[in-house]
Parts: sequence; C-alpha cells; structure tokens
Amino acid sequence: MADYGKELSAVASYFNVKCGQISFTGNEKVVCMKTQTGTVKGLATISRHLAQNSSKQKCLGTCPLDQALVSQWLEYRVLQVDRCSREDDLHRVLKELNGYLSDRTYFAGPYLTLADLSLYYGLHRTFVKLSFQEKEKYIHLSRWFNQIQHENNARQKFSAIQFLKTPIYQ
Amino acid sequence: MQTLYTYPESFRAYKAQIAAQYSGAKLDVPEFKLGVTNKTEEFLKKFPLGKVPAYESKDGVLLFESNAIAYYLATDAMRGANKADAAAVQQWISFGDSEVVPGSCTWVYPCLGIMQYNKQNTERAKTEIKRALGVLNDVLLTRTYLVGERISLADICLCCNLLALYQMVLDPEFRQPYGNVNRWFTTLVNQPQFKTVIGEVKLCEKMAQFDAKKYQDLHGQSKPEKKKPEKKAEKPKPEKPKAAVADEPPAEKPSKDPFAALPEGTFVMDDWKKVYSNEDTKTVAMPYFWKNFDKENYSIWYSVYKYPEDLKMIFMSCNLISGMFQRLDRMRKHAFGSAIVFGENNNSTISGIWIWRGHELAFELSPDLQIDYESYDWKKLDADSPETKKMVDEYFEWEGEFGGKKFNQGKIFK
Repeated sequence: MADYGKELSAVASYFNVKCGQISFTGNEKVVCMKTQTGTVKGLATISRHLAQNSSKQKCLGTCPLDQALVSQWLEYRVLQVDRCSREDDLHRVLKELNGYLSDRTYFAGPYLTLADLSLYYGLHRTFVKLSFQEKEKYIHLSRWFNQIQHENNARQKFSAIQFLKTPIYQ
Repeated sequence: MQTLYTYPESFRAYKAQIAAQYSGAKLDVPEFKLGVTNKTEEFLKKFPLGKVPAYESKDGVLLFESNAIAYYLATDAMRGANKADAAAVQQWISFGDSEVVPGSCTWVYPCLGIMQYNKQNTERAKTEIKRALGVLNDVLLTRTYLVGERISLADICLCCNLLALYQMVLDPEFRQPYGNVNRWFTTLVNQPQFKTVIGEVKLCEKMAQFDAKKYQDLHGQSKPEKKKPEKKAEKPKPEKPKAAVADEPPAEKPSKDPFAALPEGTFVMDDWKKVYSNEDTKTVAMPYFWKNFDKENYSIWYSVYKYPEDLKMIFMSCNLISGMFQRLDRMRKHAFGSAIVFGENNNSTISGIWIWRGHELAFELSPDLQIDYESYDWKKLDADSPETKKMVDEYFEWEGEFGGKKFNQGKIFK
C-alpha cells in the first residue's frame, strides 16, 4: 500500500498550501482530508483540491486537452498503479507508461503537472526496488522519473533514485 | 532599455530573445533594414563587422555574435549550475554551430531561394544532419534536457539551430528515427518563453525542395555575377532555336549519332536523369531505375582506373574525371555514369558504374569517344545479379560499403 499520508503532505508542500488532517474511513480505508469547510475523499480528489487552492494552477493543465490528460492520469494512478497486486501487473503498467513517454517529456502538455507528481509518488516505491537493468528496460519512464525527482521541491522526503546516463545492458 | 538589432525571424536573434524571456530582460527591437541599418556609420562604429544580431545596453555594453548575447541575457542557472555544467552548455552551443548550422544552411537555403542548389552538397548536408541528430538522439535517451534537469542555454541555442530544419525539411519519415530529439524539440518550442518569441511551430510535413523561382527573384536583378551559373541552366532553352540554325548542320554531317544503329529500347535516358537529379536517390530514383531499366538494350559496366599510383591530390583526380566527362559529351544522350574517387590525397583510386545503350563497349562506336577509356579497366556486369544491384545502388547513391573503400568524392555523368 502506498503511503498516502506522506504523499499528500508532499503534494501540499509542493503547492505551498496547508495539508489538512488525513484519515482513512470505512472498510476500504478511503483516504480523507479535513478542510475548513468539510472533508475531501480520495487521493486524486484531495491532490486536485490542494493544487486548486495554490498559486500553481498551471499544474492542472492550461488547455482543455491537458486538463483532461491530467484527470486521466490521476485516475490511472489510483486504478492501475496502486492496484498492481502481482509482479506481472506491475511490469505491464511500467511497460505501458514507458511506451507513452517515448515521445513525450511529461504526462500532460510540455510542462510538469499534477499527473507527473502523482505518478512519481505512486511509482517511487516501485523504482526503489528496480535494478539498473530494469530501469534501463523502461528507459523513457526512467528518464521521466529522474526529471521529476529533480524538479524543485518535488522529491522532498522521498529518497533519491540513481539512474545511469549511459545505457550499458543493450 | 536594451536594444537588439536584428532582421525579423532570425534564428540567431531568437536565441537572445528566448534567453531574455527566461531572465525577464526587456528587449527593444527597433525597425531594421538588412544592408541599410547595419551599414550606417553609426552602426559600424559600434559593431565593426556590421553583423546582426547585435546588442546594446543603455550603459554601453555592446555585443555581437548571438551566443554571446544570449549568454549575457540568460539567467545564471541557464549558463550551467556548476563548472562542469557550464562547460557542457558551451559544448552543446559549439556543437550546434559546427555540426548543425553548416549542414542546415546548405540544405535549407536553396529551399528558400537564398542559395543555388547543388545536389552533391545537399546530400552531404543530409548526411551531416543525420549524424548530428543521431548523436543527440542517444544523449537525449536518458535526459530530458541537454544539461542538468533544467532548460539551459544549450537547449535554447541548439533548438534555434534546428528550427529551420524541423520546419522545412525534416519530414515525418526523415525525423522518425530520432524520437528522443523530436520529443525534446517539441517540448522546447511549446514552452511559453519560446512561443512568445517564435510563435507556433509547425513541424515539416513534406520535405521542401529547391525553389528556383525564388532564387531567380532574389538574385535576378541585383547581383549580375551570381546570375551566371543560373544562366547556363536557363539560357539554352530560349536560345536553342537560333543556335541550332547555325550550329547543327555542320555538326550533323560528320557525327551521325554513334548509337543510332542500336535499338532504342524502353529505357528513356532523359526521364531517368530527370528523376535522378530531382528526386531523392534512395527512395525514389533507385526504385525507378530498377523498375524501368531495359536490360535487353542497355548494359551496366564497372570501370576501374588502371594507374591509381599516379593519382596525387583528390582535386586532380576530380579534374581527370570531369575532363573525361567533357570528352564523352557525344555519348551523353545514351549513357549515364557515376565515377567516384576513394581514399585521400596521395592514396586514392577511381572507379565507376556506367550504363549505356547497347551491349558492347560504347567507346568503340566512335573514335571521338576513345581518348580516356583505355586508362580504365572495363567490366560488364550481369544486370540480374544481386551483387550488381548492390554496386549500382551504392555508386548512384554515393553511400554504402563500396567493398571497404572510403568514399571521398563522386561525379555524375548525365
């Protein structure tokens, strides 16, 4: 299980906004965050809420297409990345993301968005365990991951992952 | 106020303007007329070369050369965060100037009518650009930007150097192998700081070709000397009727076309030459050749210069070939050939591939054609064998292994 508490506090800190109290409710342990006006539920919704209340609105997309892509990848993060129970599920996801990033720098538009942050935090625990050989296999995804972890104030308490700049296995 | 002197849409000035967008420097770009503004005494006093872009600040900083101006206008971070990064930034800026710009100009300028088209130069430029893109593609496989993890001057300068190529000639097929470069380039030109300066960039759909009309328009009246090479190509057509009256009758009697006795066949030499001259050799001309070549009535020959030990400087070998081509003028209508110089100065060889009408050594048809041919060994090739096909392709494309020989220069008899 991904550490949603750590992630949401990182998201809040990235957007320079206050992170409300985090709790998990119900049988499915849905993540909730308390705000001044009520409670926001679900990882994607809370992340979006934090971004919306910040000065970095651009991170939600600057045109309808980018905005839609941000939504799409936030959903993908929760439905696909976080629900990989088996090893081969995970590699299918990595392969898919790697292919998507082969001709794109970021997930939505030509700049960093919430989609990149969310996928970065979601994939971090996976990347910690990948060997250099596996990282090279997903070379576009690795290129992207390294880019995001170097963005100002994105990595925070997440550990830095090492990447090789020169492919050595092919 | 800071002033940038430039004509509009200069890729060099773009570097400075984009760098200024990132640092927030406000640039005034006054109206500028190339060849007028930069020739005034006042301008030359400040910028003795009279070149643009040129930069002037209100406290008297004067700069020319776009890279220097961009450097001055950029933020500290964009120049490289540490010594190694700063050096890498310079490395890529130099790479752009030496590996990209010359090839880009040679290839793109004829398409804009700025320069006369020369097939050999353009093909060489394409090879250079392919090489540069290949290098960049490998580097950008693991990197989002060239240096560090931020957009730096290296990205700005190189992107501007590649701009015209991406807009005019790098069609989807040509750029397809360089996915990482394409990704990097599109990301850059879509940054707001780039867009403000260069506007929306549309990637090339169809490779631009030499624009003869524009060339004529640009060079027609103002520069009579430069018009000469152009005239040669243009004039014969209108003049022919007149000249024909005077020249042809005397020429006709002794000559008789040496090939007249040979069956014409289905291969139209003129059409083939047109295709070869105007179309991409590899993708269009060679498929055309193999589809239309009439092996019943035409033959393919391989020639090797017999005395390579006498060959000294490469340019002399080239002159030897051009001289031979001139002396073979009478068979031009029915023959086509590619002669290539391999190796380097003082260690070179000449060989070639020829096609002509008939199955015998064409030079024996007329004493006029026999001056040079005995200096070469001639071997008739089997038009059906795959080895022949490979050789013909290599010799006509000026590209390939050539059995391990190092291509230096080629000449086409057409």
